[in-house]
Amino acid sequence: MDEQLMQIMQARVNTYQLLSRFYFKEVDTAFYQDLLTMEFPTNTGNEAVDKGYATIRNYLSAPHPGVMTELAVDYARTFIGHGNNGYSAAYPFESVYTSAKRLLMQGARDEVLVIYRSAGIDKKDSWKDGEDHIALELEFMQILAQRTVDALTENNEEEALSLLLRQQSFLEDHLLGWFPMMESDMKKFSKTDFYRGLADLTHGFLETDLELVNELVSEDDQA
Amino acid sequence: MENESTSMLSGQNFDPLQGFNFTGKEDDPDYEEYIPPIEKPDDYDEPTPVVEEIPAEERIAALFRGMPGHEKLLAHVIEFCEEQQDSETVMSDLEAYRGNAVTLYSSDTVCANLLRAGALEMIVLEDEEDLENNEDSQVNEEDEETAVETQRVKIAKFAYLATPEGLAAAAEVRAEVPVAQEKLFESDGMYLPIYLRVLQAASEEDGLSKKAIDAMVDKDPICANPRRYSGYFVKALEAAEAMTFDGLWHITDYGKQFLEEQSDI
Repeated sequence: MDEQLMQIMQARVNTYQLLSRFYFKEVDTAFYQDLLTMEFPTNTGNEAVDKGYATIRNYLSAPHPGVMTELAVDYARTFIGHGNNGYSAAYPFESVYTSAKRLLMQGARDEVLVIYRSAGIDKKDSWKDGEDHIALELEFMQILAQRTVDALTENNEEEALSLLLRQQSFLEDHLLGWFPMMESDMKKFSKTDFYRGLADLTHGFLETDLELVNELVSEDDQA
Repeated sequence: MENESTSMLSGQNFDPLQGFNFTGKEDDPDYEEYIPPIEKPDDYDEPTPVVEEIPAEERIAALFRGMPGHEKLLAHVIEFCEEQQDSETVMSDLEAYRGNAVTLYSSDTVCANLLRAGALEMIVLEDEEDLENNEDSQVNEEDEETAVETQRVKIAKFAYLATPEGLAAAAEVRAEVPVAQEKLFESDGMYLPIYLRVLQAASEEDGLSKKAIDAMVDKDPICANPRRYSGYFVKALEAAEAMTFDGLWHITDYGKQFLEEQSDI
């Protein structure tokens, strides 16, 4: 496996980890400091990803007294909301977007739970929400991406292909199946460019990643 | 006489679940609980209506009401920014002004609140062009094919300047001080011994804790009717700028002057 591909595969792990953290909870001091020292890519080749990174970077570069409070408020406004009609926020759960009645803990949650367990993964006891939360789905992709890197490092191409196929189906059947709807809601409910940029970044990255995984899988088929 | 029962209770034919709307279908495996459909609100796809902005005067008044006990701090920040001050200087001044006082609001939050209310305005000292020139753009040149250009966050420097509405609100706070000072002499005349006792104790170099003030005030017969607690006197002395708080209460120059004037009398 060449060095360039390994770098790309490792970058996937890092990006999934970053995206998962964005959605996991509000920006805290440690994460804010990480963002201030982060290198934001500017020419990834995907317009939505570049736009997302640039929007987040520009937001952080502009002076915002009380930025942590502003971001915490916007996190709550965007992902929690204040209504009970199912249309008051960008609810970060797959079940909400894939069930007719926009309810939590529906079929999508059961499906992802089975997929997690088939990969030997279960949620920690400290996680009290459904397993179909966007942060967990992204973290699941991070874990699979890391396993792929490990398999490639050990020259275990069969295992790497199996993991890539699993990621391909999870992206197609789950993340990209519902995130575009959440992206639209994120842009509707957020009031800071931080979370609007995150919506672009996430969608753009998921699309690019699926293209990459498709390419890698088809290359293997041809070989 | 017939023995007619007047009991309101009966044990006969009593159904403990009578008041509940059980249908008996709960045990039916085909039974599916009805959940009303959740419809998308009619105006969901409409553009978000533009909310008319509340005038700065009202926002500032709401801010002062919403941060009780911090009015003088807010007024101090506004007055400090009467001439443009860079944000770091404002932060240092605010930290120095507060000393060791415990507060719910960080200095950053105080300034953000004043900014949002319209008592301060922000002046960005570096424009976008400066930032573009200063930004660290890096390209990984080890491999041209994987070269990714990156940029870091660079927070623009900025300054605060008080708005006319903010200065007016600060002036209102200041105007309350002479009234509070007058009150020490006049309407609260019967409590003068208490005020003097607290001020005397607060002139000690170490300062005075609230617990110590409680001990010297709360059991005094003067405070029995109408009942007054130490907080009443502390609030009045603080409003009159006779005492200041930095974790402990200390006498101010005005407090010392007040003590001297009273001892002369």
